[in-house]
Amino acid sequence: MPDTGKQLVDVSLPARTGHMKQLRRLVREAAEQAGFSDNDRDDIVLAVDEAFANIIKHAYHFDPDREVRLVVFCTETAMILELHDDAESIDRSAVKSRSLDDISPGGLGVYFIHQIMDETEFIDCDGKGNILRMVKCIKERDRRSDCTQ
Amino acid sequence: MYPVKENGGYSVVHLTGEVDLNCSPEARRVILDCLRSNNPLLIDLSAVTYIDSSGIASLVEGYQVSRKLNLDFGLVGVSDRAMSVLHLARLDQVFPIFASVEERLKRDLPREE
Repeated sequence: MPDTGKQLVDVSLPARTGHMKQLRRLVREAAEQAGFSDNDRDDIVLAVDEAFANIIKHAYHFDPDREVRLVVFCTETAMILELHDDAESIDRSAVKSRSLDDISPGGLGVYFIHQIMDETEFIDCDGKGNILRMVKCIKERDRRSDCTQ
Repeated sequence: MYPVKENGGYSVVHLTGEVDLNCSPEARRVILDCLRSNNPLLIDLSAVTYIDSSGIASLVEGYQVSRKLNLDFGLVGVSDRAMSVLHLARLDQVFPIFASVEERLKRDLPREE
């Protein structure tokens, strides 16, 4: 089991667009606790918001009765953010970032997630859902000693 | 509801606050309605505090429709946060962007006039 550090958030939210603001607030507060700069906080909030939106749209097909669990941990060097859903396994080949040469209205969300996060990983929970784990490294100057276990 | 004002031959759509998946369908509707009315369009982003890919997609779709209809299109007063997201998508190099409506009007008149 890897060291996941200090837990900052563990909350389940309804998978509804009306709860995106609450998600953003929770992520912003966690990123602030972890020591990220204002600009990094804005970017992290955008990436997690895009991932949450993708679950609402593509995993749950706007079913308002489903939930998404947000779990955030922080170590001295990185913040780990996970979104857990209980949807069917994702066809990873269908999760594509668009080419920036293709000026089209869709496909930007995944591109943003990959641009902003240092690592992203889809974990298939044996048919019991999916976890999207995103890791954002904390710049050396922003690191805080209290963000450890 | 996003307000639309007329200025110098343009319809000016004022997007405000957090333009996310919850609000972007309304932004898209307002933008496309203006274009369907055959109006050259400016979108004021000065009061946008947050915009995600769905909001950006509304702007891209508006831009594409305006080009098909040969209508002038631009973004004005883009807030720092909105500019940061446009830059991340490298769309700051694609959209016509102006500091304000007045700056756009100084350049030349809309194509329809």
